[in-house]
Amino acid sequence: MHRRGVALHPLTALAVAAWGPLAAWAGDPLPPLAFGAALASVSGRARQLAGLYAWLAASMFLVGWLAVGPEASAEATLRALAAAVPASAAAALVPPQWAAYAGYRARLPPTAAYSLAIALRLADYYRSSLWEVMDALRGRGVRGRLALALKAPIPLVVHVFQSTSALAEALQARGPRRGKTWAERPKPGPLDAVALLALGAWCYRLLRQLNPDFPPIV
Amino acid sequence: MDLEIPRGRVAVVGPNGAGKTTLLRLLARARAPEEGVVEGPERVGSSWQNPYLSFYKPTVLDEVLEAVGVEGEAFRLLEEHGLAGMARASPFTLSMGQARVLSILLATLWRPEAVVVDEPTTGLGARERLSVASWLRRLGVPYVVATHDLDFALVASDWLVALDSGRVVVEGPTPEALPRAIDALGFPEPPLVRAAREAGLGLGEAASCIAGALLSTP
Repeated sequence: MHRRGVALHPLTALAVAAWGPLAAWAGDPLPPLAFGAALASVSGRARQLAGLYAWLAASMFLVGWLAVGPEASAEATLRALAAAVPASAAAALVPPQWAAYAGYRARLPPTAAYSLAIALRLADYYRSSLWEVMDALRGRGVRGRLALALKAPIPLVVHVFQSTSALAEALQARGPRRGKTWAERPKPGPLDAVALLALGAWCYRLLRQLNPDFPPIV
Repeated sequence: MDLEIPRGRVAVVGPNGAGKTTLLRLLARARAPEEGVVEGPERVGSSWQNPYLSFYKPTVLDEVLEAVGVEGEAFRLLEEHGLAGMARASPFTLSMGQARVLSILLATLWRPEAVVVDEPTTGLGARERLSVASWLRRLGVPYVVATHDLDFALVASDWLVALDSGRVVVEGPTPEALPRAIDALGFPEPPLVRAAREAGLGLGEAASCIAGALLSTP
């Protein structure tokens, strides 16, 4: 669930998500990375996202180290994080109803707009299901991370298929059609202003670097 | 919470959100307490609300065979627990009651020191509920079962703990503690308790009669 008043407009989230790859391309990955980390902390999901980032960074760095050496690998990992951190943190701040509205306005089929919102809502559910599977397997004596990692996908995949089938039936029963979704018109807030200001300032600095004759703001 | 649970057949009852599952997770070592300590057996088997999450083998027989290692013994166990007819079926095709029995069976086969069972009556009919209760009594392993079903608790346990909002409100031998738990939790009198009262039977006597009758029924 989103904290009251702490949400990003889907278009702002899209802009923040584009900032990372752009900054990585421009060789300046730190500002979007830092801003993404700040967004992750205000989203209230910092702990979950930190685990995801640590896993991404460690696996990418290790593979890169073997392929191209430690320095190049560190730089590539930093760029990957600059793309992933702001995008995922911004996505975590978009309420599902707003995402559905964006899908609806983008002329996605109603079912797709529904699915977008539902996928966002279900992310937490499936994460907790993973813990439940781990507990269930430990409860029947499965020990060791490797054994758990090898066995957990089976009940988890079956569970996902069963629950999504039930969900699909429920959706069909509700008769989704254009204009009848859980969509809600997004309302820009203070966080959007902060994000757009940060992005604007970075773009301005980039333009000044590329063209020193670019007129100063003041 | 300061609670001492005797070794044996224990039921934890309470309304939704009382903390039953949290208590079971602590006992099963699936979660660490935020404060304080949990003392007790380290090897704890568990069966959680969704029994299907603990299955990962292609057939019911394979599930049991992995634990016991000998096909004849696995068949004998399946016959004893009414699952022989489903031996070659996928465990994911079992009915809720059958899946529950298999899940609890698997939780006991790796020789844990105790077993915790969460909401074993979910999705079961009236007769199935009491069958599972009487079957649990024969397990030969100390267990703690969490349920909001007071009739089930009466038949399945010798010691009762009633929780409300994370606090212990009643504890003691089940026949004595159950009427106090009904009062303390504001639950309606369950059918077995009412029938025992109307017949002039003590609750302990009624529970023994029911368990005995179910055990002698093929």
